Amino acid sequence: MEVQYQIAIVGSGPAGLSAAARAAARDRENGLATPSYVLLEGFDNLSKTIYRYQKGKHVMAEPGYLRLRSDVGFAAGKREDILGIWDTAADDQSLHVQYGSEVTSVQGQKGAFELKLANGATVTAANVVLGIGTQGNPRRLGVTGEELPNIQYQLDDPGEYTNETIIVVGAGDSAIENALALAEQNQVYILNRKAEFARAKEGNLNAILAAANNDDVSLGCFYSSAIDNIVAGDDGGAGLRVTIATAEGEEVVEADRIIARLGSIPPRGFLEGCGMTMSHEGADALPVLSEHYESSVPGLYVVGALAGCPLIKQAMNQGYDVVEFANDNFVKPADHELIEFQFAGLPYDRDADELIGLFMSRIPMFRQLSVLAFREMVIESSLYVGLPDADSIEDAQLSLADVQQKIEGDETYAKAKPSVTKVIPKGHEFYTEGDFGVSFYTVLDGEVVLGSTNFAGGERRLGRGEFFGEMSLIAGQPRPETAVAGDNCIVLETPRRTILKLIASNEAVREGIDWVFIVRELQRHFAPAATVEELRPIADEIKQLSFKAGQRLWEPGDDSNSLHLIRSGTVLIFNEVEGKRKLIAEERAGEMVGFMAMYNQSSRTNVAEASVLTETLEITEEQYRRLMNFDMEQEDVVDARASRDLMKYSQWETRGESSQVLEFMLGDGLGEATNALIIDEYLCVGCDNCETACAETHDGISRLDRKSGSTMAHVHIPVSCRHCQQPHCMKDCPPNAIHRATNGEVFIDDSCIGCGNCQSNCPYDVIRMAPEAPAKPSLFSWLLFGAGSGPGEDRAAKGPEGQVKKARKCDACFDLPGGPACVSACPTGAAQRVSPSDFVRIIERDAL
Amino acid sequence: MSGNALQYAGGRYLWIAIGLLAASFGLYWLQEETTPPSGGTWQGLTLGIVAGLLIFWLNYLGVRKRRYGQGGSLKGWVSAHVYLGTALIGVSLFHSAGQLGWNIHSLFFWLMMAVIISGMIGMSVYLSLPRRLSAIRKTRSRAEILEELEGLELASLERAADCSESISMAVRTALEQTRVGGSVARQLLGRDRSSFEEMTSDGGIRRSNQDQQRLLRFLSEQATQTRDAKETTALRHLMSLTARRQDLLRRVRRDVQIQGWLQAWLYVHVPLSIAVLLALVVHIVVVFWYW
Ligand SMILES: Cc1cc2nc3c(=O)[nH]c(=O)nc-3n(C[C@H](O)[C@H](O)[C@H](O)COP(=O)(O)OP(=O)(O)OC[C@H]3O[C@@H](n4cnc5c(N)ncnc54)[C@H](O)[C@@H]3O)c2cc1C
Ligand code: HEM
Ligand code: SF4
Ligand code: SF4
Repeated sequence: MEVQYQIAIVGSGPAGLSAAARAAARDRENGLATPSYVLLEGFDNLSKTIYRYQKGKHVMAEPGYLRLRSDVGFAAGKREDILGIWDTAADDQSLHVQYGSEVTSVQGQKGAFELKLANGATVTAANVVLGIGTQGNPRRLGVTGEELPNIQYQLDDPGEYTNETIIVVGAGDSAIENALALAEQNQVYILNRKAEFARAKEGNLNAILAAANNDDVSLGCFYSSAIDNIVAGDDGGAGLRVTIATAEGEEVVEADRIIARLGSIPPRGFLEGCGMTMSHEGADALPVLSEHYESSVPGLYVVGALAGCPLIKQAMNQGYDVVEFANDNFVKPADHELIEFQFAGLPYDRDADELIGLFMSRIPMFRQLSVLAFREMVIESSLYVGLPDADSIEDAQLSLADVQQKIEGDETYAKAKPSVTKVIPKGHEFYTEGDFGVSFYTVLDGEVVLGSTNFAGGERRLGRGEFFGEMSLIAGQPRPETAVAGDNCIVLETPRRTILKLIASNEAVREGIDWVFIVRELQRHFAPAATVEELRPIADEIKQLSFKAGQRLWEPGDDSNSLHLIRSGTVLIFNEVEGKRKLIAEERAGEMVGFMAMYNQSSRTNVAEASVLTETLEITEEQYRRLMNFDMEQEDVVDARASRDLMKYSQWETRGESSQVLEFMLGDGLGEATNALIIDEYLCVGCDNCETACAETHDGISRLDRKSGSTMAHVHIPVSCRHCQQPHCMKDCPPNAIHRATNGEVFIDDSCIGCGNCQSNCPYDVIRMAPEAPAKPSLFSWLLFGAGSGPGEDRAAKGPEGQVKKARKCDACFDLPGGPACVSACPTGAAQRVSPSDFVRIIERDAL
Repeated sequence: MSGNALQYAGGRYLWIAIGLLAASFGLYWLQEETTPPSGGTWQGLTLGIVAGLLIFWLNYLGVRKRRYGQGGSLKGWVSAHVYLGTALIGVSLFHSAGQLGWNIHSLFFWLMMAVIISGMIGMSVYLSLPRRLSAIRKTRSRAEILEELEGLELASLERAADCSESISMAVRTALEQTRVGGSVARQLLGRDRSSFEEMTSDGGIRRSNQDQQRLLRFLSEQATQTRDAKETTALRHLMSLTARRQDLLRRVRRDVQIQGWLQAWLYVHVPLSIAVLLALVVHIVVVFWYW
């Protein structure tokens, strides 16, 4: 077969566009008259994803420390300007783009690929580069019956449907816009997983609320609801019987059509159809790639968002490199330099690529990773090298001076500095027992000493290939030990998001971390003296269970031949008397529940329920006995803990109303909070000095909304960050801009690109997307001359047009020496910050 | 959940204020031995300086309140402010030895007393009203109540459409002419100037509809007269909707009123405080001028 092109590039996003420009540049260098490549784009414009950004959006160029390597330009700026630059570049370089060419399948092998287009045409090419992003593939409903007809994920023309009953699923802008348009001629129900529409744009929000309240518009809302299952309607026609789980119970709606707008995930079907191997079974799996972006099908390459790189600059660099790779020119990737910086201070005489190979072969867990994933992990991490004394540290710092100078002198790094080897003395503390932290550490070499009074002998030594910090990562609890640099240690500190991404995409990494977590929990609770080897058989047997919010671990009368160690989340224990719940305990990650009944061999008398998504390790009585055999004296320790818990439970049983208040607080997010703001309504005079103080100390934008939120008895929980044990907001922040300070405060730094992911991930709607507030006159010119709007947020003020809307939320004033400004500014003491250990005290005071 | 400003740190500033009063009395009493007490002795002068500094410090609260992010606790400052501000009565009386007459100095004293009394009113308002507010709102925010009201209004309009023109006009105008808030005085007094229009042969006449009472009565009168089944149901619904609106409106009005009082006193307290500060300067100048 004679192939038309050397390379066919699919998708003209930043990745595909940059690849095409590189191919064009090579053609010019080689003096070719006809293009050796084609850029196939399904849309009628370049770069659909960016084209679809809201008008005037400020596009950011994160990560700041990454050099752009592309034949087309890109720098932070307005959406329109960037699209303009790309259009001009495509013209100037006469890029060979075919619009309206959606690729539906890729078949064949290296040297002879055949691409089928939706318009019936066929394109043949020797190599294929896929840069199709993830935006084109909608997230499915994921319920039984989703394969039935008339369930769709897109709405092109709302006018097409009349007099139908349509359920629109989703709470974002696209769902709302669809629902409103359809409601003109149909009966529409919109289904929102949450209790409010908070993710939507202001305009859409008002429109949907007005429509829902207006009886003339046939639109109804289901809040806090989700589809449970769908079956075909009775009449045998196209009708659907949809069972909806609402907060009040199940409800069945007969509908003609379901339109789900739930965001997007990688197009697995398409990729597997091309013959690619995927990283795991989950719906959000990405293709497995070599370090040269080649998939399991030789000659078929994947770059950009679909290669797991969530940012434009990375996508563009990959587009450039992939074309070089496909031409067998194995250039060092643009981020190679970053790895060199990272490794600069290592005491080995090897180049960066060799070191990557070395670490990957030495450390069992990393052996499972792709080179690509490991490189990314290294770049996003910090690398520590421990040295024995002050002299050697000085020497090392001198030798790093060159690197530092190179970075200083380079304008790419003017704003954001790449990470360079960090030299530390032996004895350096990575963290201290009780600190909050979310990063994860791997010992690449040498020794690290973990110290805690919980350990037999007070300490535990880790060597090459072992890791630590998994407890805080998994359970969201403060560090259970102090970690100190031992002899010749080399340690990699990896941020939470990076490691979670690895866990999600790599079975071996997940299992490795899980396993160590279990062993350490067993040591901590039951057998401090037992070695890892001794615990291995038991650890392998232990069952890991997962409970959704509201799901029960047990009910009265259940058998009680096991106890649960809470791995993450929170468990509520209550008595149920005539359908009324009476809370008797709240236990968090790291605690143990169900011990007494197991011990006494009685059946369960109370209910245990997960208050948020909770994972537990179930330990059977037989396993418990075996654990106790390591050290009989440990039984006393466990007993003492259990009787302390029992005492707590029985005290709580006597508190009627307070247990209701406690349950309300836990239910409203305080159950997974580490530090939350509550307001005592009996003291609050509504002066809003708390909000004013917040705005004054946070760039003029208040991060708390006092009036909103929920109330029970006189405890008001305003809309403000709870600093969750496991911050949902951190989950998929492309530039890794969300961090956790040592006391648990979750905060967002300046590298936020304004994508809004965190806002939709936060279940408590506390994140606001807001542009920077304009500067204000001083307090005295306001006091004396009435200049400006006075202290506090000026909600009427408008920043300059098209400014970046960044995510803003409470940071618990972690960088202010005086602590939270809202609390210290409250004249009546109504505003208080509470942590879980305070709940009981607070409610207690009331009871007395 | 936690104590109020008066209970701050176990009443620490109460004891400090008592100590201050005792010391002031001591100084005052010392004078009796030698000369008749007055502001002119060294003891009197010392007391005067203390009182003057206190006034400066009490005013400084206005600045401290706006120094955000400095830590500490404004509640503690308010606690100290309240106790020491009250103690100022004693200190100044000991300073002047109770010599009050018809002069500029006494004017200053009474001005100061006005501030102090307004402060006491404010403090009692702070202590008592938030509980009432909490009870009125019944765990809802004002915005939520207003939203609910809006819903009731829409429903009322819809029901009114099923009724005769005179009823629907009354309901429509009652909704349009429902007043919440208004001028400061009206907010603070919780006055309701709502009205509605009743149809007459030559158009309509405006009737007062305080607390929606008149509308309710009008609707109930209509209900006894109509023979139309559809209208009867509609009227029944309208009455229940109006009764619910009445309840919510009462809550909103009380809410506005209480919120108003929680702030209004400061509009007396603060300007008078500044006046006291100016009067203090005049007092000092005059005293030393005529020494
Ligand atoms: C709201 C939002 C804001 C963001 N803000 C920023 C930011 O400020 N800075 C930043 O760096 N990143 C940002 N991102 C991320 C950034 O948009 C992506 O990382 C980037 O677009 C990925 O580029 P890509 O080339 O891999 O894929 P895409 O840009 O998604 O491009 C894929 C292209 O392929 C086409 N295509 C898809 N399927 C086919 C097919 N079968 N046949 C033919 N063509 C096809 C599409 O039409 C599209 O043009 C943001 C993302 C979102 C959603
Ligand atoms: C001469 C005596 C006093 C002076 C000059 C004075 C001055 C002030 C000033 C300047 C403020 C700041 C208000 C603001 O900026 O918002 C204030 C607030 C206040 N004062 Fe006084 N005051 C005096 C006495 C008192 C007394 C005797 C009491 C109570 C018994 C009192 C109770 C209060 C209270 C409760 C506040 C409100 C705090 C707040 O809401 O932030 N004051 N006072
Ligand atoms: S922003 Fe939301 S998800 Fe993140 S820590 Fe705060 S409350 Fe939790
Ligand atoms: S500062 Fe205190 S009293 Fe004022 S509104 Fe906030 S919580 Fe209420």
